Amino acid sequence: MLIALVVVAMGGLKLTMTLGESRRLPSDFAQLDSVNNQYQQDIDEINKVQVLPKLEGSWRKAYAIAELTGVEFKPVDETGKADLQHFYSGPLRNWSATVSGKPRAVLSVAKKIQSQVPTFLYDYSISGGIMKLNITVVGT
Amino acid sequence: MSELLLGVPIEVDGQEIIIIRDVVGTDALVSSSENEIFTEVEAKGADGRPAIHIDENELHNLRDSYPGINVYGLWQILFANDLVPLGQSEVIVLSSGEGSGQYLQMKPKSDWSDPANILKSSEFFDGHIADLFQDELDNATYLDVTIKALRLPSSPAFTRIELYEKQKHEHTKRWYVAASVCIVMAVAFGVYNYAMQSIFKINMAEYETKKIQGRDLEQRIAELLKERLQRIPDDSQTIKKVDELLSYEPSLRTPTGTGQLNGFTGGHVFITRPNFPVDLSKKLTGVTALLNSNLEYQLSVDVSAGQGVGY
Repeated sequence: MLIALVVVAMGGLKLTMTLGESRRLPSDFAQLDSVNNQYQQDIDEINKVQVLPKLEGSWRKAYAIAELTGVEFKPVDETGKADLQHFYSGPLRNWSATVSGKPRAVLSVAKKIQSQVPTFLYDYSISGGIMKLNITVVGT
Repeated sequence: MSELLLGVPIEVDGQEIIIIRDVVGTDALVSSSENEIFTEVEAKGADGRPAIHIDENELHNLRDSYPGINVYGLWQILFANDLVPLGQSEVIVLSSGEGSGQYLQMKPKSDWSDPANILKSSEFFDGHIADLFQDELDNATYLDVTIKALRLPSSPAFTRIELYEKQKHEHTKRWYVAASVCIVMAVAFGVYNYAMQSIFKINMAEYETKKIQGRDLEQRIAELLKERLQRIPDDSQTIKKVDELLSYEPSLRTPTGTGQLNGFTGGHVFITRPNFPVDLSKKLTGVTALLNSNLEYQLSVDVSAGQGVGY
């Protein structure tokens, strides 16, 4: 009789513990609200930022700046990107180019382009009085 | 003379019962006849009083004659009501008529106040007790019992079969109780687990909803970042510093060795021409210089915070 009571009690406890193990909530359960709140704050912040201009227009502008300064502006296609160690890999539409010429002229062009169109500057080299700089213009 | 009539129904403590002769002590059992079967009605007392037995044949006869009426032993009732004054004499007598009655005998030359020293109980007729001398009977303590003052013992007498049935019934009852407790425990565990499972399901549904919401928000961020830049790249400060270096040393070149790659997302290292006369780190802030064996300066430009934004 006592054994039956103990067996039922132990069986019930064992079953409860086993089921309790399977009822464990995911480890990030308590953090979900704060994570989602952070996402919402990020969205609010990003929404405050203006939409970027069209890529084609920015590209033309960058090309024109280089042309006017007498610096070579050579687009880099997808095949050419394979030779680059660093390049843009974000979500925006982008085109890349190599700007080359006299170092100070290239730097001046890079500075001017970056001040007028959204542009990322990447690797460069200076050799024999010629500077080659890889840039990426981004837009929509 | 006692008011207690043996073997017939009388009312005690508001209940109709039958009192029968019982025997106290094992000596009484030894002296009984062979066809008598004795059943215990009271176990040995905590104070040492011997167990009390009744003749089961007599009990059977009473069951047949008076069905449904509880039967008690005489000494059982007397002891239960604390009406047996031990310690006064060797023999205690309950008289039932002229020269007849029941008696209780203590062990001779023992402590008569100790219930453990009760030798036996028996009955006598015609004023004669075979085992006792007359003076012992004369010095006996005679009990005076009134029915009205009596209270019933906790349990009446049962035959062995009745006791067996009673024990069986109680055993079955205990099993029912145990089974009920088991069922209650099982139900309690079931209800608890059901409740916990329900809460778990609710929490998981909430978790899934929030996860989906989080994925939607992430997707929304990704969509927004396809059209917006949270931080427009600006390397003007770095460009200015490199340009200053070039204004001092137009022949500046970048290293060509393996792993030495200049870039706005990495470092800015330059080498002057050999025998360059000026240590530019002393002229420009944020520039460090290292002279090598070719007497060339290796110049490194510290990138200001916020410069060199890449993706």
